[in-house]
Amino acid sequence: MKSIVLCTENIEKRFGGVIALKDGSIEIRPGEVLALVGSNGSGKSTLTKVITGVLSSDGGTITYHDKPVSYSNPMAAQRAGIMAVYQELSLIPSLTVAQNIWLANEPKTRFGSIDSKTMNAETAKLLTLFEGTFQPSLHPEAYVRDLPLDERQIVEILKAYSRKPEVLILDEATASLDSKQVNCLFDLIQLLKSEDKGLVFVSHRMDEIFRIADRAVILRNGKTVGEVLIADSNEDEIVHLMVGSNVGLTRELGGRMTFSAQESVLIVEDLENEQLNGVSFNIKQGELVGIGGLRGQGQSSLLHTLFGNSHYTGKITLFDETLSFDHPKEAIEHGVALIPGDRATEGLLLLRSIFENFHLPNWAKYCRPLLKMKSAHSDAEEMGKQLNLIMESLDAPVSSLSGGNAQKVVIGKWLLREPKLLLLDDPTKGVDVGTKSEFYKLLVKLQENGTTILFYSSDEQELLDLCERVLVMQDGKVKADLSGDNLTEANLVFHSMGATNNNNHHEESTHA
Amino acid sequence: MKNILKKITWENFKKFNSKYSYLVSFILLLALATIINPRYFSYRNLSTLVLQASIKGIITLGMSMVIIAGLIDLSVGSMVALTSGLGVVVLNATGNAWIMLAFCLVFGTILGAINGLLVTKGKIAPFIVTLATMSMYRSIIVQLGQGGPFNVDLALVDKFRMIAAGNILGIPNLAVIFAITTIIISLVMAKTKFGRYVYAVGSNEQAAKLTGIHVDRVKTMTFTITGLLTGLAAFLLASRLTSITAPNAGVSFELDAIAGVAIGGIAMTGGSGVIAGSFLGAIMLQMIEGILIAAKIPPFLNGLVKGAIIIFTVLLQHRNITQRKMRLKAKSADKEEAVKANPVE
Repeated sequence: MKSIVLCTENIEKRFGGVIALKDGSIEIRPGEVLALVGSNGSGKSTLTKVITGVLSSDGGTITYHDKPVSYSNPMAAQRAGIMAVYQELSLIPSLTVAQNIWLANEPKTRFGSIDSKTMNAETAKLLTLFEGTFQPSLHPEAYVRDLPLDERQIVEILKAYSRKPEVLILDEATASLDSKQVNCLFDLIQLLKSEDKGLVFVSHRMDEIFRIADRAVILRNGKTVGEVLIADSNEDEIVHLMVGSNVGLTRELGGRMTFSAQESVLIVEDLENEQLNGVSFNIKQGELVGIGGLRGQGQSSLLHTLFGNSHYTGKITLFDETLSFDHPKEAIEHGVALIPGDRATEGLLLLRSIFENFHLPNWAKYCRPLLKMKSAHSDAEEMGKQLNLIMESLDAPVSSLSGGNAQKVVIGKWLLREPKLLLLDDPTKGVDVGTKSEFYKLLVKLQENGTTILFYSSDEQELLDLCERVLVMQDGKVKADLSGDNLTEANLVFHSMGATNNNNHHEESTHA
Repeated sequence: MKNILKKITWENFKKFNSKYSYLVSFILLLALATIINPRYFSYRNLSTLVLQASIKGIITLGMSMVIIAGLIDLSVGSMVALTSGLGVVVLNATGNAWIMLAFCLVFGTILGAINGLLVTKGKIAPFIVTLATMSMYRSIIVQLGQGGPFNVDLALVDKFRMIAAGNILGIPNLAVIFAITTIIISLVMAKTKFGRYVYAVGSNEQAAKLTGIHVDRVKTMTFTITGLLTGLAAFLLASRLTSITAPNAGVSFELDAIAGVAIGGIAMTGGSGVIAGSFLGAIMLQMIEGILIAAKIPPFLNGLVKGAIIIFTVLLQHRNITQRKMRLKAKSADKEEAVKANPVE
């Protein structure tokens, strides 16, 4: 048994009323790669951020080199030798590669000024670790702003490596790398392993976990639920631990509807842009289709593209018409509505009243040419009642509403238009349980009235409860199309993680 | 009991003030002026006040639309000089004030549209675009006039100056025109689809776009309408002065318009405020000028006072916003507690 370099016990973290982490316990051992595994919202990232001092914990202890520690900021953790590489990069675009790598850690000359020569030479040495996997435009004096995403990720990794960390945490660091670059990274990890450093590898790719990790800790709903030795385990066991025993849950709101010989209203072929790598699927009239997968796999981009808010190549056929929307306006005129993910930045006019927010897409209806405020007011009143909106008055600013009620306004503004295709971008994030169940009822009611719904959610349970079919996305592609008996939580998680060599969860393509 | 009564009225006043701050400051200012000079509060004096505020006031109306949309226009002063200077040339050539009016409106509209298109199609920050056009518009008219004035022909002067100097039923023409323009712009902003879109764009551009609003068109339109109103102001200024000196006409009108918008209670960050506020804002600015003269403060310090007014009102706006945010936070924290105490389901 090797000694332990860093261990966390029962770490807790709350964001307002939401508990992100209840019992985060891991042990990091020198010369070993620990994989941290869990589905969306299981608390992986929160735990790593608590360790590196990005977030403060609300309970539990961190022991580092046998001493209890707690870092109030990332700089303090870095000084102690704990480094992390995140998927969201922290490089400064207007500085060169070398300046970024040595930022706040610059080699000095005898006179105390920055020794650029040494800095660039050292950087060139570091870059040889990834030799042959990047363009010649990546060199110590290149500006980071001119580099593509994968090369920036390499710089970020080298920056962490150059600080000679005792503990290195790689949080989804492979997401933007190609296979050659991943190989180089894994060589680097092996090198650190041989130097007895502690390594934490957070990834949603099963194959990578099995290639590089020695041990895996599985998190579920903010709790450490298991630990396995990779050599003695398999993908099934890990997926099972991630999902827990709650398999076989069925939809609470009536049985799943089945769709047979109906026309497809939305046909998407080979959709491509920065986030999408060839998405194809079709949806039938009145279907409620879920979009699953881990966060950031192109789900939002897909919805925005269908709504005309993003450039793309490929073909979209909606209601037997081949379309190319340049602006959301055109999509709206074709009966499409989008309920965006972030209420504050994309959904609401926070300074304006509830009344105005309700009617923003609907004013054309009240033009005579001056707006008929009275009838608009009574329509909004009606909609507020229908949605069971708890408010002071329609003229109160929308910012005075709670999260759930504010989301009702975002939905209500589209319902007044009676959309034919409703796109939802993770709409229940940060919404309380009561409002959520009202919201589910509303969706089912809309579906019964013939609205076709495409529903992205980062909450697997929600997808299982509501949808008759779920498209699982990974890397900007539809990885699996699950429906009927194949639509289980295990299958959802399994395909989200990009697992492949599995027999028990074999899925037949039901793609028509 | 007395305490409660007192508290209620104070609370109510605060509520009223947060919504109608421009009315409260107008009344306070009027009271102050009346205390300094008891004869201040007279019809004659007040109508003169509106008359004096009207030309800059019309521009202030346009500026408030631009600012509500989350933008800024620094070029209005130079636009006035260029439009009125050329307007005088048109008047002298045709001898017809109607043709001059049409010219000023169309030309102002074009200048405004240029600003708007550079901001939206050129994707340049409005501050940069209008700073540059401010310099360009002024430079053109100074060159055309060779630094000298554009004078209305002697044969036309007497009739032409009556447009600005005349009265309708004892009310100065300029005051009437200012009031009518205010009513029209008020209606546009409060009661038309376009007006609602301007507020939406200033409040949250991204949300506005995702609701199907052509954000760029709305922005271009606010600049264009400001150009139109500036053209009208240029026409009236020419009638009032009958001689436009290119280097001086309309100088610092942008400052006065922005200051008027600020004391009119319109948020400098966009998305809120009403046109009635900028109407009173323009008048209040005129009152302050009058008070400064009465108080024998040197006119050289006018700029100091106006600049200070802008900073002071924006500071107050920030304080209001922070307070509102804190209240909201407290409110949602209460709600969370309540949810925890009585879990749903």
